[in-house]
Amino acid sequence: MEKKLSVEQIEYISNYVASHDIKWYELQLELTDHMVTSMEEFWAKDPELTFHQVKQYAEDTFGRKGFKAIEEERTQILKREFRKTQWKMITAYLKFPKIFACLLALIISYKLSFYFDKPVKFISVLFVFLLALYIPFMYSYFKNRKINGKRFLQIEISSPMVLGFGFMNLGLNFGNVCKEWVEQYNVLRIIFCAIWVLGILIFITGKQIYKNSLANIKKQYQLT
Amino acid sequence: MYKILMYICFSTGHCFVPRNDKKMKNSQLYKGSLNTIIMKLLEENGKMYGYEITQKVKAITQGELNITEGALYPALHKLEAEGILDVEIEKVDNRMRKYYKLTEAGTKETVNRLAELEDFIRTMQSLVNPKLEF
Repeated sequence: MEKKLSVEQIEYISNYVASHDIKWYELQLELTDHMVTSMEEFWAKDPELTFHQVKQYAEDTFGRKGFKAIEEERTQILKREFRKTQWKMITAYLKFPKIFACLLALIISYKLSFYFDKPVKFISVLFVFLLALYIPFMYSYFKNRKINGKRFLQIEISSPMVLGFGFMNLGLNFGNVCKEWVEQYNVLRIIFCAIWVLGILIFITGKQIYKNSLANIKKQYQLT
Repeated sequence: MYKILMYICFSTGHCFVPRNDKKMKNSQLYKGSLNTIIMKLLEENGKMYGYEITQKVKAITQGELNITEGALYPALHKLEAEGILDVEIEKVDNRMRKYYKLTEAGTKETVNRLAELEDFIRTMQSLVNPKLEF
């Protein structure tokens, strides 16, 4: 009869994988299954081996850098794919017919800038508005950061935090630095409005990717 | 044909460990073959999990070559991120198992990539050894 790992032993392996700073459920699950299957194979060849011996043999197949290297690679892959997908979605907004919506937003924001006595005040309003858009998005992110107590790298990568604060900072700081020039040259207002429109596009596309990732993870892992 | 193709692809990549440690010098030439091989295996077997893929390759090449875990999982994750593979989770023997399968787009892409790989091998064959035919 083939030797199989008990529930407790599987849990031990799962904790062992997690103890290598693998905090993402999708990786914990995959690496645990790989280890357990591999250990059972070693046992099938030599049933006299101890639990810790087969564990060591199974772990050795992951090489010197072990589990962490796989996590690092996955992080890079997901980041690259996120950027690629987002860029593709943004460029779709810069083509006919969606480009008209972008141009309209640009013209409206530019026209609005003349209702403010100080252009720098207008720039602040624009970028604070952008941050306000991110608030419900951030709330959703924090709410779904753990699904049934499990964290997923795919969800973490599509987090809105960095881009949201990044764009607000860029707008406000850059606006502050260039405040005298903005008052003198109208063309700078257009540039700030264009950056703002780009921020909106990043927000829309980021939200869409995040929503898709969340739905995908919930479907794949049968989570509610 | 398929076995020969597999052998040629596997025998050089740095992500593979030949049994007798004979590594060809220019592994860059075949670096990209791993994804195509995974896709081909999934096309033939429907759905597979990581460990199963490594064992299948070992079996096909009669133990000549092993795909290392450090190369297999990044390749699977990349294909998944590109939308070529889909994931299915199932409970097997008191644990959860992650199965990979081709998506609709992945099935189409497999045909293209295999054709590309076969073309490449044919071209190289005609250059390296014109007398030998597949």
